[in-house]
Amino acid sequence: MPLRKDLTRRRLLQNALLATSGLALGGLTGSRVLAAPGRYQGKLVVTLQLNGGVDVTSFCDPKVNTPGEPKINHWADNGAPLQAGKISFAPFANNETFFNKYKKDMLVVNGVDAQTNSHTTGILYNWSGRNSQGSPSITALHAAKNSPEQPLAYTTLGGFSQTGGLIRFTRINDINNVRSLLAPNINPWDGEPSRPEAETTAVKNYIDNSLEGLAASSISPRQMATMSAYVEGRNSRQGLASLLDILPPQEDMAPDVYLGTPNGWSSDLLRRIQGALLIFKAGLGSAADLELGGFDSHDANDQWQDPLLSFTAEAVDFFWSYAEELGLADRITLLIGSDFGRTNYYNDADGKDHWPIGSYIVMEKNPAWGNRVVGLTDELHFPVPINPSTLKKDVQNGVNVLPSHVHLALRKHLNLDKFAKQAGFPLDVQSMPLFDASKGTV
Amino acid sequence: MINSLIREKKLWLFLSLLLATPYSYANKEVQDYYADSVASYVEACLACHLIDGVADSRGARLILSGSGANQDQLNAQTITDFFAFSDVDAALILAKISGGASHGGAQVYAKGSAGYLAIDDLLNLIAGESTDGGPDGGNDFWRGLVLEPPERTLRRAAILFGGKLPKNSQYNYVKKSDANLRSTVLKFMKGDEFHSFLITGADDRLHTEAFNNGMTFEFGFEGDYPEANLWWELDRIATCQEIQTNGDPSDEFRELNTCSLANTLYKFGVVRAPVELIAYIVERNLSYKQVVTAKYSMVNQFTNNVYRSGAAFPKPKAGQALEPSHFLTYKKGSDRGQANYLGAFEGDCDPICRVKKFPGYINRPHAGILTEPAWLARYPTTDTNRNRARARWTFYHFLGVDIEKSAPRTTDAVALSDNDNPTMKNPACTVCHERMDPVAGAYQNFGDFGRYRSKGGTDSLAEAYKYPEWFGGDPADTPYQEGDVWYRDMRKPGLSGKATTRKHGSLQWLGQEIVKDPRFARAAVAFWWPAIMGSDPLVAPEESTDQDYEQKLNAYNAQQAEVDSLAQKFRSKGFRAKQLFADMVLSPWFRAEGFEGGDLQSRMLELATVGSGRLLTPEELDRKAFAIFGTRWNEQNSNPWEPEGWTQLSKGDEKIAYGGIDSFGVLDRARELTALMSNVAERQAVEFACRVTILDFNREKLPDLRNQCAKDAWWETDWEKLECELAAPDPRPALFSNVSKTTEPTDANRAKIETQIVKLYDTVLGKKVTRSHPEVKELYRLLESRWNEFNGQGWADNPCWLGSKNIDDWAWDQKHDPKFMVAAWSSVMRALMTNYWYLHD
Repeated sequence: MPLRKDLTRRRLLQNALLATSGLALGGLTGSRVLAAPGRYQGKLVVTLQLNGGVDVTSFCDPKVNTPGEPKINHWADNGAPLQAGKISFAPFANNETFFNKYKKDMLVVNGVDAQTNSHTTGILYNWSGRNSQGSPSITALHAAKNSPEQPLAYTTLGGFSQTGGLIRFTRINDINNVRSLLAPNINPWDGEPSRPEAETTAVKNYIDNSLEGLAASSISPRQMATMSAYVEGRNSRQGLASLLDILPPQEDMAPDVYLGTPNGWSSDLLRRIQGALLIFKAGLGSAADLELGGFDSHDANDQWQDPLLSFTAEAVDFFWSYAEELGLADRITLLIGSDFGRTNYYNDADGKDHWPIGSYIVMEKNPAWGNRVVGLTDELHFPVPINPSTLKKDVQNGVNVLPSHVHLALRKHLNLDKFAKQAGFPLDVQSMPLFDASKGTV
Repeated sequence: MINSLIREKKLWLFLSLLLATPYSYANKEVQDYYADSVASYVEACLACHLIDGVADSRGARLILSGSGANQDQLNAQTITDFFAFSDVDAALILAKISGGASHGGAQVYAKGSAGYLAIDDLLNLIAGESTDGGPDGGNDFWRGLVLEPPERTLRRAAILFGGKLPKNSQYNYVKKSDANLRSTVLKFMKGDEFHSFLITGADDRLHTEAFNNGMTFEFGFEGDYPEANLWWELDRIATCQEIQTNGDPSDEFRELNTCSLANTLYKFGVVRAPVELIAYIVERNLSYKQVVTAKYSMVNQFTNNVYRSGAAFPKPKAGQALEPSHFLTYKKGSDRGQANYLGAFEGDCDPICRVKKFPGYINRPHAGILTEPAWLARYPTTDTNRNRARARWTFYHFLGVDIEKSAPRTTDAVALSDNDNPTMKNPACTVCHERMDPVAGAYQNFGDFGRYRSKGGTDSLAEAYKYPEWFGGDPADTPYQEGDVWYRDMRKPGLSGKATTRKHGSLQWLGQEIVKDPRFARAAVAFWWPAIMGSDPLVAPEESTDQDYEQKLNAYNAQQAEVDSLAQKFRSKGFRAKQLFADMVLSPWFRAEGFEGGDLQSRMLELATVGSGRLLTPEELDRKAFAIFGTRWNEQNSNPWEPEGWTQLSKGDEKIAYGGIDSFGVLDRARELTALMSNVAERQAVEFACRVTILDFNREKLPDLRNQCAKDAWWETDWEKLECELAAPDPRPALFSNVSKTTEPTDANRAKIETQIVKLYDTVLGKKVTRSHPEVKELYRLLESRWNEFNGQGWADNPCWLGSKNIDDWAWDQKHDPKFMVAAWSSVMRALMTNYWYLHD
């Protein structure tokens, strides 16, 4: 049952306790063990948050230099934008391979105006669709609606994960590190029970009974909230062991990748991707957040953006290949975005500072709405208004695309709009048919 | 007429100045109230409502003064004048403050918040009415909430601060009065566990521990600090290669040699210095102001040497045997170790940088944390960032101002599209930079990663700024002049409108200005709020249309009122942090434990972080275990590569899995259990409960065990050679004092066993119950069922890692559990260790 705004924590606690004691089923079953939820097999949503501010003019909204204006891109000294289907991209980093391979699987939304130069606000706006605190991420909404009872319903492997109180997220950095915790009563070294199984059962029964006593006492709202989490955690954890069955041996997990950034960073993003997809494969959740940082290139813009965008392309390719291998690709929506963009000129340190205009890429496997671009910017990367119905350029009567427009369209696409409204998180902007294959700006 | 004059900005300022003279009609009561109770709140308005600010450029009539000795007087007058406009009244001003009436800056203070109420009172005074006594943050907030008994508060505080359980005499003493409770709580603020509390709590905010968790530390002592040349004396390459190729790996850490050098000489001591400074100030009851004003740093044996501090440590020598205490013992010191680059300086960077020749040393200025290398390196600057990240976090931690939140939430792209020095000229940018950049300027002497005057010893300015011709620019483009230490195209170093001309000591000046600011005390309360209350300080809700807005607002206002009150007490007690901590513990925000009101359903959110019931963090759960059992889950002895020791929850993968932070990739603690965290709790009970039970029933062995463990050589990595793989427990009163190994669950022994369960319930869970309590009966049945099973099979099934090779043996287990009761009690202990009240407090 999804945790809704009208369902208070106390109510939830009562329900959780009733479920634990077998009374949730009308007291008819007599069972004292809440059955683990079945494997989740529905839609999956993932965000890849490129933190710091991606230079989209060197990615999916390419800009060449304009005479009389400061130089916008070094690559434009000798290069011109390339085209993959209807999608234009910069001849930079590993873009060519990436866009050529995945053009049919993506919708590019350009000219998205985050209306801020603040990282905090940009992240908040781009991943929740609202620039004030309190609203859940798109992934939190999806998990709260579709898999709230799953033990890893919503996993953050990095990035913004605000939940709006709808659900709790689980933080996992490296799936390798939690192997021994998936089955806490089993020895990791020999697979044998760590303690007598009769003891495990007896202790569980004691805790279940003690919870009924706790619920009857005059506890405070804070105690009620943490007790509710305690009960839900205990109830849902039974399924975690199933992840062990499909986890590859540690040596077969993806290694760290050297990125080639000026400071010589490495990234474990591929292993995090693996973790998210394996959790989905085990049917333990429906949403995950991933993150790659370092895009805040105030110095040496191209030396940072080039290796990071190349690795982004590699990581997204790994994501879809591994999803295909696990048989999940048909079920996934992947949202790629950033805090905002970068200035339309280089600063004294050959870097680029904050710029409110950015882009999103939405990906699915062979969607009807793929190979399209919505949204527009001018030659200096200012947003150009589009008609919210036709999505065509409309300088007179159109509107700038905002993160809230993209999120509203995503909510509708993922069938989350009604749920979000009922939960108290409406988005008060005009609807844009971003996923209507018959429409597009370009 | 007046309006048209007012639109002329300079005239308006002149008018304000004129009106602030003795002819002023803002009476003294208004001016005094403004200075005492309102000025700190109006600070937020200064982000926009200044001449040429965002509000000014959009036609606002309220233009305040951002600086000057009589700033408060001027602004009280300005608000009085604004209030006198015929179309302005209190309702309009308050509506704008709370985000209504088309206020361009959105909400500044939520309706009913402390700032809102303070300004409301000011307007009442201006209108000739009396105030209602100042902000109270919601009269009915505490209705229905029940405070816990003082004994329970004492227990929670004793574990939190001291890692100890109180004595019975202390429990009795605190029943008599809150004053007794307060004085007893203060007694637990000492010792190693309190130190650990301070280190963890401070790092939760500063995140300097990131450098011990994978973040690269780029200070680069070798090229600047001649004493760091010690590694040359140690014949680095030959020794290290020999050890790695032929030697016992443990030798790498056994003595001070080249392999261990970087960590021993520099890293650990430098990384820890900021939080050790806070701990030093708090533990010695020094003024908390020293956190940003101390003219000293904290050094251990190695940093003392590198800094040439002169603290009473022996000089490190090659081959010196390493001990954990070398890392963890800190004394006051000063950094006098950086070579002066000016004059006859000569360095060599083949193969690694070192100082070869230098004319003398720099006396690095100290201003508490502000000048600490780890603080500066954790928030490094760049040629274009120009210390702004440092300024942002200075505001946040020491003035309680979140600069990023001070800007209007939406700004259009055109307003931000400006490359003509926008941070100085563009209102969309100056809204933040007006306040931030002077503080950034105060950091003028410190380079990208914190070195003093890193650019040739003269300054830390970007070379692209000083010499644009080196980067293809025109040398005439820079305003730089020889001898400058700060950028001429930025605001001058300063704070809140006051500037400093000090070059060498601008951060020392900043520290002194910060502690004069009334916001410093409030920021200190907010800084320690998570460590003591177990939740982050609340932020004001922003969307009045949100369904839960009113509840969030009520909670925020009540918390702000409490923070104000605590800050006032903190100031009045001379900024003594222990006193502040005790006041926080006595607050209902710490002590509320029950609810008896009828409107619970409508108040769940506003009371969600009030009182007891917090999920213990990994560090807090470790401290609780130590208080009760004298040891922690899989605790190992300390050694130089883990100078603070190793436990499953502090150093194992379980730390992050249980909601902890690494101050690097994970900065926010999880505050409620998830399924995975529930498994961590289960695992600790599975592995830990049997050990503490068996060792408690065999207490006569503990002195020997401690003795054996003490003999272990810490550098031994071959576990076969160790007496103890786990640390022996510290002495604690017996847990199983009502029963023996042979007290079987028979009718004759029922009273004894139930009394023992009552005692365990009290000691382990902190809950008082009687023998007739259902849980006592449940645990008795659990004990009995386990005993029956063992009796039936004729042996005790109690697999357990005791961590000592002398007793980790099945035969030993059986011999020492003749009636299988130790095994049965192990099951009971496991049940208690997974109980809600063990994991929460």
